[in-house]
Amino acid sequence: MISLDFLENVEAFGELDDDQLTKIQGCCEVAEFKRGEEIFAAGETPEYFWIVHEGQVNLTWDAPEGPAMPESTITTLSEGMPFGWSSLVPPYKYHLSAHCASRNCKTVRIPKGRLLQLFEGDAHLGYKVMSKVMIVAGQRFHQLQDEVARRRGHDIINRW
Amino acid sequence: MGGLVFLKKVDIFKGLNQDQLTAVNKRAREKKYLYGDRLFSEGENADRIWLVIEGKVDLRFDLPGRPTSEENTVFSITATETLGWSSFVPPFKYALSAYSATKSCKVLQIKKEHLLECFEKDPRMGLIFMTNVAAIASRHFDQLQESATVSPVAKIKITVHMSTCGIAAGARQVMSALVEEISSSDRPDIEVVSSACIGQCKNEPNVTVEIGGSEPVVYQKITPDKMRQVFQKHILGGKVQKEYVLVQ
Repeated sequence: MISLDFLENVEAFGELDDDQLTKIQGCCEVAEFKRGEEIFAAGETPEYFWIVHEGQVNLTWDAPEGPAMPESTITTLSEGMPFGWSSLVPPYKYHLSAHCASRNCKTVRIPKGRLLQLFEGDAHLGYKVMSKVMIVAGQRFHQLQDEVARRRGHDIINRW
Repeated sequence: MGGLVFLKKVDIFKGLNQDQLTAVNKRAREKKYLYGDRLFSEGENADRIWLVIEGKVDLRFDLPGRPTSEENTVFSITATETLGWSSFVPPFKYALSAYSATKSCKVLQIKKEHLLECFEKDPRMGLIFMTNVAAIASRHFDQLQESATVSPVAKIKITVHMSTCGIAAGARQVMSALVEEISSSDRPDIEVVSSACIGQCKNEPNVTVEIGGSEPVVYQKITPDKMRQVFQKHILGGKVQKEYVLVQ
């Protein structure tokens, strides 16, 4: 079972009390992956909200096409870091792909349906978690902006 | 004008009930801007959200030491849409500058601290609001990914055809001259790409210029000097250099 100590150090759950953390704990599942294995792909309809428990996870951007635009890593996540934020907001679609980036990685996954049900039953919990999820979304957006800027610079250089 | 009827239509307040919208409405302040007025600047503390009631607001990046220009618009926001979700994301700074882009525009401002006070009293309202904000971020995420192959600010596209035949005829030197011209022009709205041969090997190097929605102009037998001339007179000056245009 995932410990409350672990959950309270997760960015998205940092402000929850023990009762609320226990509710989250009851929804957690563990999933393990080996290096390079896909956790989910961009464009998929999400079933889970994820947290890295052990090891590392790469979030990658597969598009757009063309030799000057290879797949690239937007960020590498380690213990306690959440991912798959878009599982909790319309239109419910993963924007990036996630792969195991260490020899092994252990993740905690929470079925989005169960998490959204918890939010419905305890709006205070939902508000606190969604406020943090919004911060994660903003961080990813800024990381993507940086990557787009980097690609545009490289694109001109690479093509001549 | 603002009011509950308006607030009900705003993307960021979708799903709020009458009481919750009334609480927001009490905190909202209406402001009017004329064409070209700046609502906020890039880098300023983002401490409020902005709802467009009438007109259009452009989000632009501003170049240091230069007046703002419509060419640098990244997104345009129209009635019932919201600006300023960066007020809920560290480092709480606006990432772009906002300008009124119509003869006049009306907006509602609501300070973040006032919204947070409402959410503390009514967490369900906070949950709905934060979910809506994250959904807007998700939409912008998609837009950013979709626009990544083309500069979102590029209004001018220059294609240098750099196949083997083009390179043998001097396309690389042409590209070099073009990049130098662009660097010294400081024009982020110009996008340069390379592509394959267009089947005019005997007339290489070829360069295609596309400005806005106008018909592409294909130039033939371009040299670095001709490229500089095309850049200065056509791309910057708007005058097609007919003597170099490909005749098919």
